[in-house]
Amino acid sequence: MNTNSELIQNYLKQKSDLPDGLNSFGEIVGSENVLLFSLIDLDSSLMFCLRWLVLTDKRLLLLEQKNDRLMILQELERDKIKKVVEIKSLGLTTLQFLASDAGPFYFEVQFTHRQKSMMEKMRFAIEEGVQKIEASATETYQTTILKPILDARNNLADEHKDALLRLLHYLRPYKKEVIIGMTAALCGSFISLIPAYLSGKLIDDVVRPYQSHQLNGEIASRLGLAFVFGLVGAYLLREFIIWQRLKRMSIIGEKVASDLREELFKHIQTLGADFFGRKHSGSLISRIGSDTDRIWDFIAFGVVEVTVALGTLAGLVVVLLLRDFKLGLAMVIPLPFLLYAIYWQGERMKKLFIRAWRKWSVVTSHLSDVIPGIQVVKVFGQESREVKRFTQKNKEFTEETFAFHRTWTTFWPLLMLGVHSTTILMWSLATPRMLSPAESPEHLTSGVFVSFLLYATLMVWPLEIIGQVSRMLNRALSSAYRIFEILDTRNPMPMATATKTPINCLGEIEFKNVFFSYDKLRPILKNVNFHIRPGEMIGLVGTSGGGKSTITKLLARIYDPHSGMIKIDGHDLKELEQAWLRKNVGMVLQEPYLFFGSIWENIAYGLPNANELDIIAAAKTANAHDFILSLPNGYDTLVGERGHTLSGGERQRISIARAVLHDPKILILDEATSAVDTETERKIQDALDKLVLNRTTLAIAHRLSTLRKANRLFVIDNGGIVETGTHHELMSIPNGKYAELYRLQFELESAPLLN
Amino acid sequence: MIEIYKNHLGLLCTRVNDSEVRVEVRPCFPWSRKNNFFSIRNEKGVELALLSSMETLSAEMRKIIQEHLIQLGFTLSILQILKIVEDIELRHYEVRTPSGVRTFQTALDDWPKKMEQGNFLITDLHGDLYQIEDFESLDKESKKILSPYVA
Repeated sequence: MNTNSELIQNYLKQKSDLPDGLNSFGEIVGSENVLLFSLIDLDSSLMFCLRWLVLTDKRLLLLEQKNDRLMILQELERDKIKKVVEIKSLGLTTLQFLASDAGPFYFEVQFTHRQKSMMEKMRFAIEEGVQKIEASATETYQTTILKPILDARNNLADEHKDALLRLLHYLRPYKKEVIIGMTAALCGSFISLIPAYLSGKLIDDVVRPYQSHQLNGEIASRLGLAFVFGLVGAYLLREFIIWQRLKRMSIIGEKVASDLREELFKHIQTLGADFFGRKHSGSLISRIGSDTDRIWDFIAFGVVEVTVALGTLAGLVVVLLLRDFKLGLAMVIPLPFLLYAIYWQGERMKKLFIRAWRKWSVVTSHLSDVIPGIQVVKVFGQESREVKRFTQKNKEFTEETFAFHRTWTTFWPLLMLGVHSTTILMWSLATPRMLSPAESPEHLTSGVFVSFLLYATLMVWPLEIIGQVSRMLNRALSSAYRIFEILDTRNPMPMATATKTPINCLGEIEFKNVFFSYDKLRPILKNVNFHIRPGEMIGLVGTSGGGKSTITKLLARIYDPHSGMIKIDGHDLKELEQAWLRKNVGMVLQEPYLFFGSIWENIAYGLPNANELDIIAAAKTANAHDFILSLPNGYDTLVGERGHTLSGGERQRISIARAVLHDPKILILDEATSAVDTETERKIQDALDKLVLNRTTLAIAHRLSTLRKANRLFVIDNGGIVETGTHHELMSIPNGKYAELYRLQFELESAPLLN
Repeated sequence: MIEIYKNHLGLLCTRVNDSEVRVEVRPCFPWSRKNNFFSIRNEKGVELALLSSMETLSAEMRKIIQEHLIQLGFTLSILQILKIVEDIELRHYEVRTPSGVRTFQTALDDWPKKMEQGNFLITDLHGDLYQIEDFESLDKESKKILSPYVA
């Protein structure tokens, strides 16, 4: 059984594959190829059922699996199905299979949203007459079903112990320090037991013999002083060891957290566009920041404190039983009960914590909802309503925290009462024995008893720590999982390492029989072929979803084509070194991004060693120089999230300046002038006109007028190039796609604002 | 007045310019006003009519639409909570519904949502909807398990 199969069964309790080993199945499918299948989990009366919709290269079958038997409920030749109708409901989807609008109506299936993505693929394959699919039916089914869960959490397969071992593996480079730190921790816990022992001995061997005149004053004083020095020594040694332990372990913790942060950040740079589409940047930042911080906390204090607590408790048990077995037993027996009470309290607190957490998330989601939209709140005069809503949510959270604090503040005094009961029990058992004659075998010396009293005070802290082990471990494991989740994510398109670096880039581009699909089923590009000469400017036009952006993403090698070849200057893109490609293929995106820093740092981002004159020249080419100098701090103006606010057009011109300085031979302009006003568009367009000189340019533009300087236009529709030519050539094609697009846009732009 | 009927294939239809057109009924407010405001749309999603109420419809038409709406409004109703387990980034639920036992997951920071009508709605990672019509009517153990998530 593969991992995906196990995950589907464990997480969803759903069958992960068509039943194998059933003779009847072979008979049903025979020599046909199973292209796709999906579980149908609802029957006509909307009860859960175990049915399979199987699409082979010849037929569509609806099978029912009951008691290890497969029955055919429906079977249809594929070419008979001409229409698939989808009816969407709140909690289910119905697919109806028909020959035509007029019938016959063959059958319908109903399924929950869990099966929907898989069923959409099947519907596509039926409607498009797909006869061959690259991935196996089982692989497609399993990956499709698991996708939402894997998107929420990548490494489902990891066991708790694996994550812990992996985490501890990061301690390996600091093995020596860890051994010293842990030994110090254990020694410290044992040394903690010495003062209580010495105190008892002082009473029994010095104080009492002196009081009963068995020891003279001088010797008693000397012995007393020796005991006091012993105590001083024990305390000094203990604190020295604790200092060593804290110093070493907290530094090791920082080192491990730093190693993890570095590894994470380095790894994130290697991940592809699909990953960043899935994960919010806030979530990645918290993994690098707070999660590694929690790991530091766990290694520096958690591991050590638990070790010290266990050591102290074990040492206490041994010492108590050795010093006086019966009295020791009286103190040891309540320990499991006290531990259980702490565990029970932990479980109770967990529930209260969930409630408080839920209410807190309501508060924070209100904040993240309202604060970015504060302008709208003000415009509509809803300030007092928002304050009222926030106050209500804040109050609910605060009340929850009261319950939380009420519980733990009640529990700890009760637990202490439990510990003190042990002391009282000890007193009750010890008093008669202390009062018994000294020669009696049951007699208990007051020194031993004092030791016990002191040991009782030592017992509270380890109990407290052990009670927190599970919470501490869960927090650290959860952070470890979140970090390993990123580290375990692999770029689906790893870049080759040993690759070509041609001396020059001329900018010739060729797409040869290029096919591409994001999900390996629905093709986005279908057999795209074109050749672009060096220095040509090509406009990519067409309706949304036609495949324009996909062409540019393949050229920038964000994705690789599934088949076919893309060449730059005659070299296969896959053979070219990544750094070479990034140097020679530049992009100006629709949403320019500026990093926090000065304007000049942003312009020089791709070329950090650029000199001032080059930076200014680039800004001039990008029509940015004048507006930059109108700012009080000129090129030193801080921009980005925490810096000076620039308009969309200004940001775009800085990003164009960045591209000018980067000087790529091939330039991709992806809707670079959209979402700006006409005057700004003119300035950007003017900057772009200068930028495209002597470069091969692929420009996507919503406004067709911005592509007036293109040497050729490619009209992309439904994954292919349907028309090519200059504006005039394309306009002259009767019923042409471009002419239609142009007419629609012209009508829209010349339409009056108000009817 | 639009006329909606089931054709010989059992599909919802109306007549436009004397020809039969398949239609679908989309509730405008599937949660807050589930008995009012329905958009009657053709297969291309073009609205043919907007019904503010079913009162004005004939009894036969009302019956057809109501039957259709039962299916459109179907969600899995939770009868019993068997288990809720917190995991890394995920929360696992095992519940009993009228359709059978179901195991599903939500994101850890996704909580059951209290609806205007007082019921709770849980949306799992696949988008399936689970309703708790009345928390108080659940059995004692279910309430105990669910309480931290809804109370």
